[in-house]
Amino acid sequence: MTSEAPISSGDLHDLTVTALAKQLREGKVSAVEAAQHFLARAKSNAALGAFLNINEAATLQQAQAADARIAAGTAGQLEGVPIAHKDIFVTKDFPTTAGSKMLEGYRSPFDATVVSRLASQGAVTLGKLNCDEFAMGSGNENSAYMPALNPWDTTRIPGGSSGGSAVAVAARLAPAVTGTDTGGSIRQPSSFCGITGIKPTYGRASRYGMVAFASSLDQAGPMARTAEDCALLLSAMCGPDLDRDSTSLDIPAEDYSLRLNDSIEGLRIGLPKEFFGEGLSADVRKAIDAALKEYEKLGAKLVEISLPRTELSIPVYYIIAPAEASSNLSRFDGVKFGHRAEQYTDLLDMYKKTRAQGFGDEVKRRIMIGTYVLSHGYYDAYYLQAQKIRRMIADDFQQAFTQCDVIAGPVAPTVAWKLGAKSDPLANYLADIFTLPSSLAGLPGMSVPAGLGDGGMPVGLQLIGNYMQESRLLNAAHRLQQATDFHLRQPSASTLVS
Amino acid sequence: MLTQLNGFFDIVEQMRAVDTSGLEPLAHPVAVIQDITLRLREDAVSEPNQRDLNQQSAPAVERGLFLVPKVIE
Repeated sequence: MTSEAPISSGDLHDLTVTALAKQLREGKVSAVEAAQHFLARAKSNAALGAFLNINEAATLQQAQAADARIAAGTAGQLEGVPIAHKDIFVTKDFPTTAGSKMLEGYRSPFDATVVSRLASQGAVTLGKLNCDEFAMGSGNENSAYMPALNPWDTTRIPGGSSGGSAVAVAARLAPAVTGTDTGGSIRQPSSFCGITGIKPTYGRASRYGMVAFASSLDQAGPMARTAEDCALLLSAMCGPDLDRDSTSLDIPAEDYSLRLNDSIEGLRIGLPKEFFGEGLSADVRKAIDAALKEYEKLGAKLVEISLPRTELSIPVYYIIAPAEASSNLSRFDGVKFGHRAEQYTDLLDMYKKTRAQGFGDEVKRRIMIGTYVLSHGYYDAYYLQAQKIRRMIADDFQQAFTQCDVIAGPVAPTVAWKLGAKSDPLANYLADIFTLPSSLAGLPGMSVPAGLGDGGMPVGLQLIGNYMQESRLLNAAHRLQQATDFHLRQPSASTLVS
Repeated sequence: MLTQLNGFFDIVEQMRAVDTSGLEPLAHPVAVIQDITLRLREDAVSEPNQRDLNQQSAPAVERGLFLVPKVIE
């Protein structure tokens, strides 16, 4: 692999996944060289807080195996491409913490399906990425280890809960990463860090090996710099996993790259009027409007639609998600894995102290809310009522999709805020308003860079599709990225160590 | 934290006023467009026995058993 390498390894991090995979297949750079380059970048930029764990020996071993497959002519689509995983996905070769002290040092005996699917296409695991504890949060400030910093302005949050994931891609510490999205946790940090991310239809990516937060909402997805890269990764990640995830859809895997270049002439883009009301800040609105103008130039038609229960999605989500979380997190009792208190008097005391010490405040709040709304006497009024309104919200989308092919709007009402600016948890919940409705409906959604707002911070355009319409979303995003350079902008080098 | 929890239930109030009579709760979102039945699989052993690996992250293990404080006198 040493002969005629036209690409200097100094440029590797500027390549897209698509370009890097090609260089690797053609032997212009080796998987080991690529892994070493990104490991060095990840280490020299440790101050950004993107990574929770790096294991050079494990990464290099995977890279050597990738090089052997390239040499043998059995390379997969992603052979040798280093990909870092949100620390919600369990991995054999790396510890998994879910951003919590509860799982400090935990080692899974198996890999999550998404991790093994990517590995089967040759991806090399670069490490594990910081996130809000158990994926609960929208600023990465709920990580039990450290906050992650937005590389566009390190006094600001990168978004969450997949905050470390977004930082790693924006700062080019990894060509692409995985994230998970329960109420916006792929789309919002993608928006805040100026990258491209997609959450597929609920049930499309296996949840096996994802540390469970809210099981009827959790979905995995890729985050990268371009829609083309997301299509490549999503194709590898998605597909039926019928024996291991009871909610996995029995629909064959799909190549999401096939329709990227389709014309979007005549595409009807629905703009929910509730997404453009007074809650939307002027700078975000301006960037979104400019992106929509580009779509008109490409031949798309903008139509006004209504999602009348947009505001209701906040209480509905914050009933359903904590209810499911309170049930899922009951497994953390200090017996079979994870933290156990050192001092206790009896079994009950051990449970209490273990959970009081192991969980952070936001996780405790949600467990308490969830336990309360599921309790006898309140179940019908809260949980069941929320699930009924959830059906109304999903029906509203089906009504909207009779008038349009995709829905577009902002991902979040503002650009990324300053660290510590939203210490009130309610303020965080309210900022999720534009991502929650499609999460509740289980629809695919993505964030596509759409220029800059206040403080020179990135703004993301949200695209929402009907069930199983990931191809159409990626097509619409790719066409925008062919015509504009929003996705090529990157944080000033001053915040980064090369 | 009590104030925060009470503040939370204030925003939940708007939800209680919605008329949802006759509506079925939605558990699997894709059930909006197609029938979703939860699958059952054969009750057969599908995983290898890897007791040591499964217990490697346990706080207290002895002779392959998980240890907890004494619960029966």
